[in-house]
Amino acid sequence: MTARLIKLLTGSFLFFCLGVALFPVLFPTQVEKKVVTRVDKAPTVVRDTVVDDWSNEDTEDDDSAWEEEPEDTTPQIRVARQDDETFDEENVPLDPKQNVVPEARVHAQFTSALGEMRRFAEKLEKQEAEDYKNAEFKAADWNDPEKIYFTLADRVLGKLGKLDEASVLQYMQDPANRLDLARITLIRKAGSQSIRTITTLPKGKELLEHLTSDLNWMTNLLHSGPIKSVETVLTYLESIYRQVGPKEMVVPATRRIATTTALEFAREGWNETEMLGRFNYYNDSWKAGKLNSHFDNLQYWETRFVTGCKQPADSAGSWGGPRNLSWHRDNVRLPMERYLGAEGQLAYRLRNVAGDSVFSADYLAPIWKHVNFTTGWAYREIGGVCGALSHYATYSALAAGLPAATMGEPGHCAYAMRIGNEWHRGNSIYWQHSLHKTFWDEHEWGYLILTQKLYEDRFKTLAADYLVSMADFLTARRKMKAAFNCYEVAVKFQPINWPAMKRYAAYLKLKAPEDKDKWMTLHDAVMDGMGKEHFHAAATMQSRYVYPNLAPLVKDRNKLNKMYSGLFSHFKSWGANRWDIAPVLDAQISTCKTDDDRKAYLKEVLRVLMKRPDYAGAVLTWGLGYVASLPEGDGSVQEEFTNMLVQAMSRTGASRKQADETWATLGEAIHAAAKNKERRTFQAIGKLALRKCKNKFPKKGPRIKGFSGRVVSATGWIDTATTIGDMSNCCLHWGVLQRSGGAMPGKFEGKSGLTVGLEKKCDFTGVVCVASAKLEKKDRPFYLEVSDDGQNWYRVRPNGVISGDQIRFDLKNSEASGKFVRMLREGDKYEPGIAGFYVYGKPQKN
Amino acid sequence: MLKNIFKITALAALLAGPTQAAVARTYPDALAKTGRNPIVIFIYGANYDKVSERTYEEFIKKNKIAPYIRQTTFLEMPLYQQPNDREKKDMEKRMGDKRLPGGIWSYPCLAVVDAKGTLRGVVQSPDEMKDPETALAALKVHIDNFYKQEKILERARKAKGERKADLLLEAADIDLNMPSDALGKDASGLENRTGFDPLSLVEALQTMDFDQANAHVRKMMAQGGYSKLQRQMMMAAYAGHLRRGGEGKKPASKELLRALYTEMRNIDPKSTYGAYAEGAIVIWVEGGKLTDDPVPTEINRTGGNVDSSAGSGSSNGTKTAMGSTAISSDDVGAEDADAQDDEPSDADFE
Repeated sequence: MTARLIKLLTGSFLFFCLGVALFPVLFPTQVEKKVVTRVDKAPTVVRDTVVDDWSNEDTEDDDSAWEEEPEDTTPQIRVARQDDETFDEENVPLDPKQNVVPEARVHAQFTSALGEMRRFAEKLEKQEAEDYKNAEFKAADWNDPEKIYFTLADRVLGKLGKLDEASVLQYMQDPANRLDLARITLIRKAGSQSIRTITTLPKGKELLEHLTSDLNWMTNLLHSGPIKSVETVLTYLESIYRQVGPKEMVVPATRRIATTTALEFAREGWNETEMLGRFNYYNDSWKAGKLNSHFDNLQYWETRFVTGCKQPADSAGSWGGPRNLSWHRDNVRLPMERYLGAEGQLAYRLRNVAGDSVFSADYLAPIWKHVNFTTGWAYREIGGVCGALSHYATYSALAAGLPAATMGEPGHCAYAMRIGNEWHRGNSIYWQHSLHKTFWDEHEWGYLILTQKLYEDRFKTLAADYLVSMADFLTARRKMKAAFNCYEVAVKFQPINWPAMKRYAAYLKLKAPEDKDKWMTLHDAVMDGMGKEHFHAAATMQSRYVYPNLAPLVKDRNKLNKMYSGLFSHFKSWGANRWDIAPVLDAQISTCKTDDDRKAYLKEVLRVLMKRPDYAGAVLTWGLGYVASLPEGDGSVQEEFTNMLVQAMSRTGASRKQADETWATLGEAIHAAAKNKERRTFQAIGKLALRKCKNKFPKKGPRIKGFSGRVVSATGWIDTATTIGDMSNCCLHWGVLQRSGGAMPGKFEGKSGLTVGLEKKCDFTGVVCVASAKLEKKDRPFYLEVSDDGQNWYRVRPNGVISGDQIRFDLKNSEASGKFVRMLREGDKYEPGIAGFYVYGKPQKN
Repeated sequence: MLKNIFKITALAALLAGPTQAAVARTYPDALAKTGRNPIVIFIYGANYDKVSERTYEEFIKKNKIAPYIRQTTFLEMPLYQQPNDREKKDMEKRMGDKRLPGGIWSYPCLAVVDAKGTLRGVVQSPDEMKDPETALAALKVHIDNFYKQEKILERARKAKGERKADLLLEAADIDLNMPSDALGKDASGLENRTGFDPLSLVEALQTMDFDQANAHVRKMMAQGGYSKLQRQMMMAAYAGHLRRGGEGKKPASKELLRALYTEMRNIDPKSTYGAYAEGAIVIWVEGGKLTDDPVPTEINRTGGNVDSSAGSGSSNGTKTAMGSTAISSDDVGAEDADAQDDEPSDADFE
């Protein structure tokens, strides 16, 4: 009995011991501990990541990193805000299989993935109509955004399984999965602390529940263009949500107006009062049926051009305030295509009928009360110049709900307006446009067209954007291999996706800066994608993001030069619009280390570009500018480079067929020479132009009565205040100094007028300027200034005497001398052109 | 009862009887058949504008326009945005080889056009187009003016010399565009009206001292033949020149400016330049500013103490032939007065 009892007790004890031993194995206790890490570049921001104790092998050695879980804490920032410029990795275990940069792939290796992406894009289109919703996270859940984030992160990674390309693409097909990814993206873009802040707003939690339950809304919020200051976006949305209530927020147009207004006002940093004013204007106008019906069918991205229009203040002089928009909406109601040219409703006036300049506050001052401080109305009553005219047309279209934007041109204001899906220029006089509303802070015309093409191919771009979101998430979770694959498929599938391409290049620079094959693959992808149609964007992508990384890896200089010139071989014309090639050429030549490298480079690009009529003048202009910017030294390098450029010009064709192209090319170059004050080059190009295109010069020079001495200006250079509208005829500027005569615009603005640089310092006896027509307006005098250095100017008297088509300055007794002469006048819109400008005098010795 | 029935029948007969508008289906058709009567064109957005749709419903479908367009030729003109082939054909058919006249800034609108295709008047502002009653009342004014103007022009065609010029000026003073051929080859007596360029006047005044400027403007005014708007513009140019002073000259005294702007305002107080003059007095004479406050707006006069009795409103001024206040050329000598002094001084009027 005793022995049995002993056996039983022993057995029980052993069983107990076994149980004690096995208990942690069978029923592991999850001891939550906190890993505290510092986030790069933001040392004061602490990110907390809650992990199981089994999971963090990497930190085992560092006991100091472990802390006891505080009993009750308000978490600090647990999910850091992630912007588009940086990559932030969370403190999660590193999977060795994922910690590799996958090898560069050739096109054939993408075939399967691209096919899957096509199907995915088709599915997105079908599923949009299904309007997927899932209210998994209730309002109260958003008190703890970190919990939501980590729940979702685990779920997404769990579903992704092997993390290979196929599993990722398969995963994306399910709308429920995409909504999870969108929620993750929202939390990461906002940062969990910002989400927490939103929950403290009166309707914040309710908004978050509704927003994050709705796949279409989330998609439009996150993938309709750039998104900045997400906390502000959500704050503004909450403000609107609170005002209109959940029922109205479901109305598609109201939701679109609300979301795009919030996105744009947050992006621009405009205040909440003005944001609500803008929202109410469009929402009320839409409800009242006062907008153009085209507005009803706009997507979110294009609505942003409308609701995000500039100058939101509701005050005199502002164009985008509700009062002014309302006035335009009600007073300028036109079919879409008629807004282009609506500036014709305004009189062009540099001065009002009281004589006040349009640039002074007095111009409109007395009229404001009468027009109820309404800008468009004021200008319609009084008239204005290019700025007012272009804004008038633009804001008339915007007020009707149609995409448009003003844009700057050198010394001028024009506008862009979309008719259907095509952008058109309005009131434009020059090729250089700097748009005042852009998506990526790239202001040139080509990017506007790129934006249009990118987003009008909506589901293709959306598929790529979703994949970039996935890549960003995988990056954060330290799944480098999978992240690389996602970025690469995304940019391969939608190769004109500028922001995606930029982001991939940044990731490549971060993770595999010396992987020449990958950079080469990216280079080729840019050429094959953007390079087909969007030349400016492609060249900029290469010069800004690819060349600086790829060039140091290419050891053979000739190959590199071929690659550089190959960029331009690819472009047959300017593309959507002429663009400035100088930054690209600057980026290319900056990778040259020696003068020999530079000469070889210059030779190669001149070889290619001089055969491209569109580009020839631009490359010469750049070349002359580059030579002028070189450090002085002994001048031999400059001379050698200039000779190369002049030789290249000499090779331009002179046949009748080629004459126009040569004339335009040399015109651009001579204009650049004048701007650079390169007297010799100016003269060389002028003589070359006369030799090659004699027919373009006047056959008979102007008849003038000169002064004593020589015409000392004949060997100088001449520059004007403007060449707008006449860039192709700049060789005639040289003619203005010659007996033959020429032509150049007579434009006078402040201290800009006609400036002549002479070969030597001279004593002057007189100046004769010949206008292209009789000078009718004698209200403002012409006067002359001289300078020894082109910097410090002295006025000489007497003023010019106007007689017929000539202005004469008799300087016989003035003792005027100098190396530079300029003729000025108070500006007006129209001045007659200049046909001849002759400075008489005697060169000083030494 | 019988009386009422008679009245209703008579009214119906009036509306639907021989005085009913001639309805044209195309613009060339309207131009051809209208003769001496005006064409009323209802132009509206047909496929892009809900406001046009509502207006069409009210004006045309409910036929509220009918009583207002008797004797006229009436034409409906739909405008299509990005028209499809069918719509393009419809527009081509309606327009033929003609184009609608310029000067219309907004649709829907009611345009009054003559047989030559000149836009004589248009009802287009939102205030006018807000409801059929208001719009059609405005249309009626244009139509009445049309007949009135045509009548005077008919007399002018038969007249000669000064009489003809007077009649043409009388017609031009009616608030309606003149027909394109109203002047014919002989514009004598109307040169001032037709050749007036306010910016040329501004330029001309710039080279003049104040005495010369005054003499120049007064001479122009005395010549006559200018519209109210043109006379206000003259005053704006003149007062602007004196206000700025210019090279080597001090600006004119504030009291002189007050007098000039008052004269300008009184030519036509309700016009834009009447309002301009009113604003100019507040800003440049009284040193106040125009405030942006809710309607009804009040002018916030923040300037120094101004003796209202010293103001030279029209009641104190000398009436000119044009019925406005004029300043004698002697007053203009005030250009040397101390411009800093807000208070009117004797020197201002020396």
